[in-house]
Amino acid sequence: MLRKYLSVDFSECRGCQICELMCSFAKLRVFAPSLALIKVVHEYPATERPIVCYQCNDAPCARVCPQNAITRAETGALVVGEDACTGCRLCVDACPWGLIKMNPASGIAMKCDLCGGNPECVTLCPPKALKFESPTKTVDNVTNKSTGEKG
Amino acid sequence: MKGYAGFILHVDLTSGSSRKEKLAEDLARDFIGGKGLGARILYGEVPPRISALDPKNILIFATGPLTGTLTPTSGRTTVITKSPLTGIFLDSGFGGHMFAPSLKYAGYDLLVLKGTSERPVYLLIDDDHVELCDASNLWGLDTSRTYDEIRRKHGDVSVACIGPAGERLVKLANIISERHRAAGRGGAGAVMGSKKLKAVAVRGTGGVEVHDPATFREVAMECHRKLWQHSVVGIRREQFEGSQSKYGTPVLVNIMNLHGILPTKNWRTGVLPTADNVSGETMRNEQVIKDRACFGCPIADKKINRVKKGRYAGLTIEGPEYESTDTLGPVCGVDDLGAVTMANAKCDELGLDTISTGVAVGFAMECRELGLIRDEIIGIPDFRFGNGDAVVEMIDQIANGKGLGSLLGQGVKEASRKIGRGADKLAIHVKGLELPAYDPRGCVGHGLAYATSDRGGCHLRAWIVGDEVGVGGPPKFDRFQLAGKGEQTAKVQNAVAAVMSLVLCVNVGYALNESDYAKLLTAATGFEFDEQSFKKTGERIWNLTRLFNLREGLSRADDVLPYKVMNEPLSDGVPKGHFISRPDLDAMLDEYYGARGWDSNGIPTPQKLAELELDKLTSP
Repeated sequence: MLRKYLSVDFSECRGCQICELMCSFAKLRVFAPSLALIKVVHEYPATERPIVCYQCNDAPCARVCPQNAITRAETGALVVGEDACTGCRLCVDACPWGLIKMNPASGIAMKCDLCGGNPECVTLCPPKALKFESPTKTVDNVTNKSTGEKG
Repeated sequence: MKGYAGFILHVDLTSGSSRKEKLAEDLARDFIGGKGLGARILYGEVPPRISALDPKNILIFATGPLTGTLTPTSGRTTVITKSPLTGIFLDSGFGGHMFAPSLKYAGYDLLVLKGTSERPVYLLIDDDHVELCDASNLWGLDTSRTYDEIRRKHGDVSVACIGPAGERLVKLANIISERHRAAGRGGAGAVMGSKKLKAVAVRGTGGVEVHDPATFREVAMECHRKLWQHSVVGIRREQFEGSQSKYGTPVLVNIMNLHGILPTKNWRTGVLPTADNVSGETMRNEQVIKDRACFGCPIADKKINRVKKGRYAGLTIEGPEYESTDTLGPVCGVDDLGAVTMANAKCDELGLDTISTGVAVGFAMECRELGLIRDEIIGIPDFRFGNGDAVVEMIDQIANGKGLGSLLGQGVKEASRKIGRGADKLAIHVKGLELPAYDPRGCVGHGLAYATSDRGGCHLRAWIVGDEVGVGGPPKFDRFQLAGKGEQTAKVQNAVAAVMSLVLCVNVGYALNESDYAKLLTAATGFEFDEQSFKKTGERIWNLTRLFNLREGLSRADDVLPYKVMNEPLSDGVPKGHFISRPDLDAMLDEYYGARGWDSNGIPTPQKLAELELDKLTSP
């Protein structure tokens, strides 16, 4: 099976931040956008930009980790090994998207792990601007906004 | 006490000091939050009959127990104060991204401001760090610039601020958050201006925990799905043609015009043949470039408009909403979408309530036409119904206190008194608050809702018109029938008072009911609420705001409608020939007071107060 990715359609996002609430609740049982591992950036006047973890190849977070605590899971997600992580924060600084947070309770790093293959952030996205899908499907569904053509 | 942050932040602008107070559990249980808690604090703290601009008046920014959670529309803020425009209770709210959630994530359910600063300041709340900062370089700036400047300095903070109108204590001044979100009504911006408080900036990095996480998640998600599927506020725009989510609230322009209750030319008529020029459908087709949602809201009925033609081409703003569209448009005889959009933008930038401002300008246009105001005083060429550019110019005058604007900025009640010569018959207000965009002569229950609203002429305390003309379904009541409207109005007011104490948007009421709210509240707080106790709490809150207003000197005589509504029949459309006579209004009031357990003077009986456990407030 092809790996699935979180895909974002900026033009559909309306900036409601429900994904942030779902994320922080799934991870910490608390509603706290500042601890969410997804971030909606509001750009005035007419752009909403949800930023998700891209589970980078040769990921900076994994590269800088002195404990090699960040490893790739079957889902394709880079996952923090809770036992290995010492809470040194190097990965927090290394992430170019600012999407690695510190768990205030345990003091170890938190990053998007795709919720083990069922990302919570996608669940309640009203316009379905956020999707979890494999790239071929993504390409099929993308419409070129300027030409109106598919693919 | 889960659901709540657990603290009230008090800031005294006179001394510059601040303190945290624990939120008492019984207060939270009895008044929920938002409007209710704010009203309770206002009743206890503000001495009777002081001027609203007195340093002793307080200004409250309130969140609720569901604020910042997964509950749909959990991002709203309620502002509570004594109104300088009406002299009575005021609560006014705004949505947007993050103001109320940030306040709560910073650790505060309410922010209570009192006193007055000597110099202009803004308040910075950065979690535990609370600081009054010098605002001399912000004073005089419009609301957009203020927002940008504060964020340039402090980064990603949420901001609520006043514009030049609030600084000048214009009684139509509002509080603006994130450029276009307004606590619009009743002049809260002037109260903020009187305290020399330019802005409040908040960042909160904490979160909100709920009592029963699993149940809460399930109930909240169910509420989202109910909203998704509703024909008015549902999210599938292709499925729900004609919905508010697709066209925004301006979808009501054509609907109200069809029913003959679209206020036009200062309430001369309820029909404007060219109304479609400013309808939600025309907006969508011609100038909406983006849908936007407030925090936690699936409806996304905010529309980003970019004017495509005319002298205001290129202007981009969020809005206008329905009420703004009508009052800045048809009420002034204007059907030019570009001019309406510009007028809305001006109001937001300068910090003026769109509804009251539009009604004041329409009032002035009629006064001029009837020779009650001379052209020399106006100073704007061709100041007549239909001239959208003149509306835009007059908004500047009102904000800057120039010429006729200095008079209109006091509201139509006061302005008409000063103009004299029968101008009061042209003034469209209840208790000093200008009426929004539904002519009650074609929906009499909505008229009763205006007459009895706790903040004066307001559509949001009980939107009876929807059931009278049928929005999103067939009408539930005969729109001209008096009987039943008293009971219905009381019922809806109670429910809405409770919803506004959770601090949710009234639009969720299309799909959710008291049972849903009670479930959310119980799962969030652990307080045992059911449908009945939730309604009861709403009733308690409504009676409390009544007590506040009675203490300020109001009586049955103030539960009244504008002269035109009570004396001049509508001339066009379905409601042609209809008006709400004195006996009509009295009949509805009698039923309403009876349904409320109030005496014939509109005063809650001792038994009712005891039943609502408000008796301890009124006994010495």
